[in-house]
Amino acid sequence: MSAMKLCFHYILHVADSIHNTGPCWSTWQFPMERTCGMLQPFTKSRLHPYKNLTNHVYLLELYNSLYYYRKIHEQIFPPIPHKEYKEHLVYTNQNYEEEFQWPSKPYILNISEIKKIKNHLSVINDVALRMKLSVCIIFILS
Amino acid sequence: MACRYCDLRGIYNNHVYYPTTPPSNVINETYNPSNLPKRTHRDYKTRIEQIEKIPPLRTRNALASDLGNNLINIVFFAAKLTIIILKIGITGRSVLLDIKTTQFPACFPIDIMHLFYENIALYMLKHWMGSFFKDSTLNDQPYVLNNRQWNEIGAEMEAAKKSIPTDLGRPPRNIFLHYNGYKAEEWSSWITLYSLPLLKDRLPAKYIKGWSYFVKAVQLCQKRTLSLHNQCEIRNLLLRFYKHYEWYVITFILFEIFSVF
Repeated sequence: MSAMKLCFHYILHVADSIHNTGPCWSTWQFPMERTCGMLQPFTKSRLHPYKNLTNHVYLLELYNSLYYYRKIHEQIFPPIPHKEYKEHLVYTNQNYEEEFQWPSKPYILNISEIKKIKNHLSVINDVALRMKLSVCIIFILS
Repeated sequence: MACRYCDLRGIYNNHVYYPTTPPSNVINETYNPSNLPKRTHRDYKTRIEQIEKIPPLRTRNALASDLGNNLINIVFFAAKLTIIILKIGITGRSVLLDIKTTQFPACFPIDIMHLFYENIALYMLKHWMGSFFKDSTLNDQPYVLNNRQWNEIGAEMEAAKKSIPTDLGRPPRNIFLHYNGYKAEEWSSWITLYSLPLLKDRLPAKYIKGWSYFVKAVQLCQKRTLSLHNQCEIRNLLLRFYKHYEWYVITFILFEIFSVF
């Protein structure tokens, strides 16, 4: 008898509950738990936790409303400069909106490295041309 | 009375339990699990009116002192209130009733995350692990798997970790070691993905069958859109699982009786 906990009884009402308020995902607690998880780190004060929490949420909302005041917003959060990629470093497919960007970093090769690359690429010459490494090759010739 | 959807009366035995079929030594109504005495919005309203007829504590005290014999009256009203509360299963008026569109049990649906994932899955696991009851003689049941088998299951879950696509959520953790720290999402994938294949050939077939009703129902509950047919299916599957579980319980009661002799 002690196995008939209330939760086993509630099983019988799940179907009615779905009938009344729609599929389970529309009423389950996952989003609520997520919100609680977001609010938790806000409470730092041990003496006035609720006051602390309200102040934090209020402050956060003030920051959010800054979006509507362009000038101030840009002063506080300067826009991140958009990195420009050369065409051959970006891969896209016409079916996708997203693009893959080649991880790139400016780097200056020393002479022995250039030699090695040149030796390697001389076998497949047209690839070297396409990859715009010809600049380096010219450099070495001079 | 604790169910907000129906008038099922619980049975007190150190804790309140809610069987639809009471054990033979307790006098309580027998309920039909497929046709429970549902509470409606109107029931709630009339019951709240009933409660509101009883004057609140402060006026009660004033009234009692007016009448002279203070103590008797206070006791009388308090007793009347408790009796009514016990009888109708409502303690007072909720402010939410002021909102016209609130329909009483219907607007407060069951959260399957807490019910299915974090309670039933855990309780069933405890049954199978043989740790559900404090009384260890009751835990000795045909469906209990021993520690070696659980270690095997855990190891298999751990081994499958790397080959589970990220689409299926978190990779499985060893359920035997970590079930206390399991998140709702992990319980959900334990129920719908891992439990059946891992328990098959380990649990006796009839227990697997009973559990599979529940698994199927949970899978349906997770669907984005549900047809009317799906709803019926969920209702039937959960009813079947409930009956299956009730049958577990009957074996416990038999066990209890035999262990007394």
